[in-house]
Amino acid sequence: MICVDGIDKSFGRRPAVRGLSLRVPRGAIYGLLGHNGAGKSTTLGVLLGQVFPDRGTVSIGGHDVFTARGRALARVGAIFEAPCFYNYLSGRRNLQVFSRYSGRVSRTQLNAVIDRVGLTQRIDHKVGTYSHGMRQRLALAQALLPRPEVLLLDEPTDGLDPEGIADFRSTLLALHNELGLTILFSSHLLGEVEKICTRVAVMRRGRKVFDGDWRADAAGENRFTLVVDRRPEALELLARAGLITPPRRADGPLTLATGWGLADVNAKLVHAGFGVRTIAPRPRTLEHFYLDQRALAGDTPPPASGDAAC
Amino acid sequence: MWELYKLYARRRTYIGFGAFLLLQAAILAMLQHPRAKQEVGGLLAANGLGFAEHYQGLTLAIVVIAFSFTFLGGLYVALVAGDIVAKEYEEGTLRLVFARPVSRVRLLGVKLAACVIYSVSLVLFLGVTALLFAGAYRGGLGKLFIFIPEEDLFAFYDTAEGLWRYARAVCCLAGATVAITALAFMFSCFKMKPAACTILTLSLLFIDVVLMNLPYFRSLRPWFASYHMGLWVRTFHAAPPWPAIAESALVLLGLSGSFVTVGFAHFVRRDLK
Repeated sequence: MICVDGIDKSFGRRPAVRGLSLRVPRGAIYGLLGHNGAGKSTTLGVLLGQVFPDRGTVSIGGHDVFTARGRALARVGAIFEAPCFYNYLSGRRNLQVFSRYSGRVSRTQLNAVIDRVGLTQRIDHKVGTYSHGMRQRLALAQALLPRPEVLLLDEPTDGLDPEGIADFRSTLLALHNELGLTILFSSHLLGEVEKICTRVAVMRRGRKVFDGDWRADAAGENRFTLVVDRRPEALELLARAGLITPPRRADGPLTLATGWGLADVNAKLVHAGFGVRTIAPRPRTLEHFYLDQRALAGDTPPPASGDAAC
Repeated sequence: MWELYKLYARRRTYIGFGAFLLLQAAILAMLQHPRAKQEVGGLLAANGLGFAEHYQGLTLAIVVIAFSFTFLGGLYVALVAGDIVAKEYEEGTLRLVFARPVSRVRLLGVKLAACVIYSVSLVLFLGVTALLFAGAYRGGLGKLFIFIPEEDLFAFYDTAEGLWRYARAVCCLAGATVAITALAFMFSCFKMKPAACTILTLSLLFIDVVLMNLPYFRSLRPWFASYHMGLWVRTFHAAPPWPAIAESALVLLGLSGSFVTVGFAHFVRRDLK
């Protein structure tokens, strides 16, 4: 449904995206993860034809975003991090204004969308009086007006309270189930992405370092936490004995070699006189997976907590 | 249509209209000062013209327009045209607009049209209200008298002829104002703050006016845009210099077209992020 092929984009001398290729299949909920400045927003900008890539092609539904923008974006809705509207107009007027850019929308459809996002009571009030949560719901309404097949969401839950995040998530999942939407979801909130997305792409300094189903990452099953005295020596011993795959960084994640268990690692260390304080399999959460990807990418250590650092 | 709705739904759009009303009232009040009357009366008497019938609505309306537009017209036109794209970019709504399958050229075209309609409506509003205010203030339209030494213009007309010439001149002024609109619009298409668009436009306009009015540059006056923007005044000549007026109109048209083209060309290639 969404095809990104070999995108490069620099702003001045600063590369923002390098050699990015993505395939988002129809009906998928796809997470786009990365640190600030990783290139997520630039990627979404390119997808919407708002940012011109230096190289590469982008298509949505088989239509090139830059040569057939009208057809490519006809059934696309987008929400950005800070929902910006005309504060001096009512929510309804805002929706009417935005819908005019993609064709006329009937009053019935407009009311149905307003009802769906739960803004019926306040829709005729000026947007300047709306809370952040209401603005985000209005943003969702404007994204739904063109009867989208694709939703592009750029940090949509930033700034929402826990209740607002839960509401947004359940609305999004309901929309996905009912309408079969393809959703590309960029977020810092790994917990949200974990609950919503079936696949993720991880970006690091403009490059994609992972793309796929993070739960199916085989190496993740063998990762473990180890807190031990004289860690560098301990790791050298384990690697020499073939119990772990040699780590790229001494403070990076550890992976058991095939055929060995944590008991073997523990026994080896204890027999060699190392004081083992913690040894445990790493929980398989998206946060751990993401931090591992960052560490494996080579230049940023995971946070210094015992769990993440080992 | 919706672009106009958005424009006229903002309170600041009306500041220009309100400010013009205030300034008109202030200028008319000043023109009632005995010294002002004495100056004009002396001039009229020296040319065998009666004060009572010439110091009325039509004559004062021209004075009001000349002064109020010089100081405020450019400001409000530049303010609105400078805001039209840059403000939406700054507030983030432009990004949301361009999430829709609308072409950049089409959107800019609509925005430019809205700016032009605003500029023209502001000048027409000024023309109509100046005449109404001045007429009501002096108790009638009277005859038209105009004297502008820099333009070698000294003319007087009866009410019907004066009214026709007044309407024609206001329409010409409205057309000339489009050049200021186009300049501010061009800046608005660049990545800069809305206030910077307005300030840049006004700075260029004032520099142009100042240089044009320096006595040393008298022979170079046709090289300045503000000289051509004064074409509306030349329509008051007993025998208007139509070739020169047409040339001024063409120069302004060319400038406006160039500004708009540069703005469009930049905007359609610009990253919106």
